[in-house]
Amino acid sequence: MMTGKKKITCRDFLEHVSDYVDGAMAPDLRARLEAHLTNCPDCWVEFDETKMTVEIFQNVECHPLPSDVHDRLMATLEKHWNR
Amino acid sequence: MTNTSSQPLAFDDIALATEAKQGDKGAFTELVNRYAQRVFRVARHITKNDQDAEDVLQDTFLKAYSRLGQFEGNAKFYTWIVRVAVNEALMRMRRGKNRVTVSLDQELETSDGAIQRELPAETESPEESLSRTELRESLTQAIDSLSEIYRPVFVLRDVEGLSTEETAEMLNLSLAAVKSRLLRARLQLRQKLRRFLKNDDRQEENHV
Ligand SMILES: [Zn+2]
Repeated sequence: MMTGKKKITCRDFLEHVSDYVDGAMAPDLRARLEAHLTNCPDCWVEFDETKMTVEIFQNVECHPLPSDVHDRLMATLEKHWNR
Repeated sequence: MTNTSSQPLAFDDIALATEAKQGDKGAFTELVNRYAQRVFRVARHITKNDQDAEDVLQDTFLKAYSRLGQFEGNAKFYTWIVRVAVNEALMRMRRGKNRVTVSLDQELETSDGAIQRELPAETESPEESLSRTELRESLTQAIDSLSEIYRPVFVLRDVEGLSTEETAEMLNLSLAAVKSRLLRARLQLRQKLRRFLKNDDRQEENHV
């Protein structure tokens, strides 16, 4: 946990990297993390890779619905409706 | 009706749900057509099993149909039905055998050295350099490898794009728990998928 205006360490950065990728944090903390980021190539890689990891999942659709699964779902509903 | 925006769906959904409530099965079928894919995906990610996912899919839409009366027009239909699906999937998991859960601190191995080499070109996106199917399989395996603590959070936040608040509510977790689990999940997946990411010029795996 960070208290006051203590200097951001690499550990702090890693703790916040996920929120930082989401942009979900107070502007003050964001600015301090950003300042660390510009001076720390290691954390920049952490940030960049985490961001890419999130993006990779957003861009690929896993588990397309097989058409027979869809058909069986509709058959189940029809059966339910016709009871 | 005028469709001026690219997001007419939320409004449409409420209209469809209202019609379905009044017994219009065609309207409900339209909702099935819109959301079966996403419900199936959530179910499959959480249960890690095709048969369980199909059962969850069926139970979800059967329940949704019988509970349409509880659907409030001010919620998003998608969020509502995913909540039903998540509950079904989690229940099924709990009913299942006493699963061994992976230790929270367990270090995940990286899968370097196999099949894919690092990607050389800065401008090349992962999708361009790998076949879609191969990438999809790798992503699926990576998600499946997450422990049951992290998997549902990651699936709802990053695969389905729900907000932290929605995810917390669906899983009965605090916002802080969602955030910290999401962080761990993302870091674990990053390790797993490192070979698909561009920057491979680093020596250390971890500098914590
Ligand atoms: Zn650093």
